[in-house]
Amino acid sequence: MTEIMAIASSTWRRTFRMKSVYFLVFCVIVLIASAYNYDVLSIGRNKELMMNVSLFLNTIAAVIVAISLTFEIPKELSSGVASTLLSKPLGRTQYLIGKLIGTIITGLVITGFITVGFMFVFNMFFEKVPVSMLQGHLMVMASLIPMSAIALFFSVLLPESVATIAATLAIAFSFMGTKLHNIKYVYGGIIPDLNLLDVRAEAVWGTNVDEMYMLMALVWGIAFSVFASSVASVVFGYKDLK
Amino acid sequence: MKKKTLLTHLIVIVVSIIVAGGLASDLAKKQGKICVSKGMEDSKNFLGLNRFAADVQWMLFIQYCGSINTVNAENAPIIYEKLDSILRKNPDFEQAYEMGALMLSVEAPKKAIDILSRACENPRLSRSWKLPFLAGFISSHHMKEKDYAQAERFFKMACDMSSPPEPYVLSALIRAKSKKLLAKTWKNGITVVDEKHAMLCSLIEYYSFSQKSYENPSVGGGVYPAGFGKVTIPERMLSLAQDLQTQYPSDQNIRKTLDKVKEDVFKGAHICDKCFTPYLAGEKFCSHCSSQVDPFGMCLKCGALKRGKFCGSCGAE
Ligand SMILES: [Zn+2]
Ligand SMILES: [Zn+2]
Repeated sequence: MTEIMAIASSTWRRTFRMKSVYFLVFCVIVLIASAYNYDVLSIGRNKELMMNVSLFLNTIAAVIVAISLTFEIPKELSSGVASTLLSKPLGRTQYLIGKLIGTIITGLVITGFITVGFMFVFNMFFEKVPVSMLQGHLMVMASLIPMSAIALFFSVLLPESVATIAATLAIAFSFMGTKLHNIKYVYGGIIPDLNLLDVRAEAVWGTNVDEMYMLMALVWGIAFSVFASSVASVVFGYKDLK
Repeated sequence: MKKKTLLTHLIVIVVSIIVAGGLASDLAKKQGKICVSKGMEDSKNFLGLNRFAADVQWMLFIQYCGSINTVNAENAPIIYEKLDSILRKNPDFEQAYEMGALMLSVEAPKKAIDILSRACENPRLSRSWKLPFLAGFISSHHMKEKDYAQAERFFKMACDMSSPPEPYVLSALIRAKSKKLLAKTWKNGITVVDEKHAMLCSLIEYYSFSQKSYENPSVGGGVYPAGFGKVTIPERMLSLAQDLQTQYPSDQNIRKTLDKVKEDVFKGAHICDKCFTPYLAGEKFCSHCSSQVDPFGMCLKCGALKRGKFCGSCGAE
């Protein structure tokens, strides 16, 4: 456990030491706020625009954080950062779990900042943020969990640059929904459907999603990431590390 | 990797597939109920970009609309395509349906109706009665071959969505109904003679429907008022019946219709059989056509006007 947390904390510490992260988060919030100026151009739809922009940019932020795994892991392996841990019998699994947790926490903090920033901006220009919008953002944050697991899977399966592209495509396509609904356990168990965590349309429309659904979706995200990271761990266990 | 570690891994994999897979099928079903318009949305939702992309396209569309002078045969298909793309990405976009349909209504009414029909299918827009109203209006006013049956269907939908419906929506519904009936055969082999006759038939239909909606509001889209504007529907029917009676004194179609009005609407009401003029208590002849009427409100014993339970002149009950 201590090894896992050590890897995890080193992951988020490194990210939060970078000043550019804060600058980017600030830029995202400014972009969200700028939607207010489009009231004439959109014939009074700037409120919906601001909501849609905030949800979309927050999703992008989550994807970027998740994808960062695909170039961090190869970099760390080649620089020999965790070589002592990796030589232990259970070390490789612990390393992967640590990286996954670290990335998820990094992502939660960043998307959390964006969510709070959006709430502040929306409150300033319009009215109190509707509950549904908060739910929409929380679900975006929850989608970090399966997204990071997808990225982890590809980062051990494929070489560096290919892994980044493959993970990005896999995440992007997971939003399109699949036609596999009828194949039980393959749908959602092996092939992820990030649509399940996408309630952004409801958030903007003002439909509150019941807590049970949100909880179940969160559990699904966790269960799926356990699957993806276990497979990654098996692959990683047989990998020849120099 | 040791055998034991591998086994643990495999067990974890199988268990997580079962949990995640089971949950996902459940969630997918639940989501269908929560995200009611997702099925109408373009499934090529790359990174979940759809809604945001629709907003951007909407602003570009408005720019485009600013750049053209009029909607003509040349640019109508372009406008339709742009709208179609926006609405496929965001099927909840009420404003785009409305503005798009208004722009296309004259030049490409069929396309306009196509757009509005999609709005009517979206359960999320089930309170936006203006959209089917607009579709009905376009069907009955702008189509080359005016489709009153379609217009009636849309107006009915607009009424169902708004309870109680606006008077002008109701009157549009009744008018479309009557236009549909014109020069056609109505119930019981009655051939509709003219516009007034069609209107009367349409009002009879509407009236019985309205009565039913009072008895059981859950059947239609709620309660349908038995009047709109200043006159009630029976009043309107009465004046139409009077006109038709004078205009076509010997037409069988009119005769049958008027009989039906008496039977359905004015059963037991005190109205002259010949000319449909109401008469008052104590009157023995119609004040309009002098034909004999069935008097009421009189003492059976002495013939004086009765105001209460007992006769004021002779005291009989
Ligand atoms: Zn008379
Ligand atoms: Zn008497």
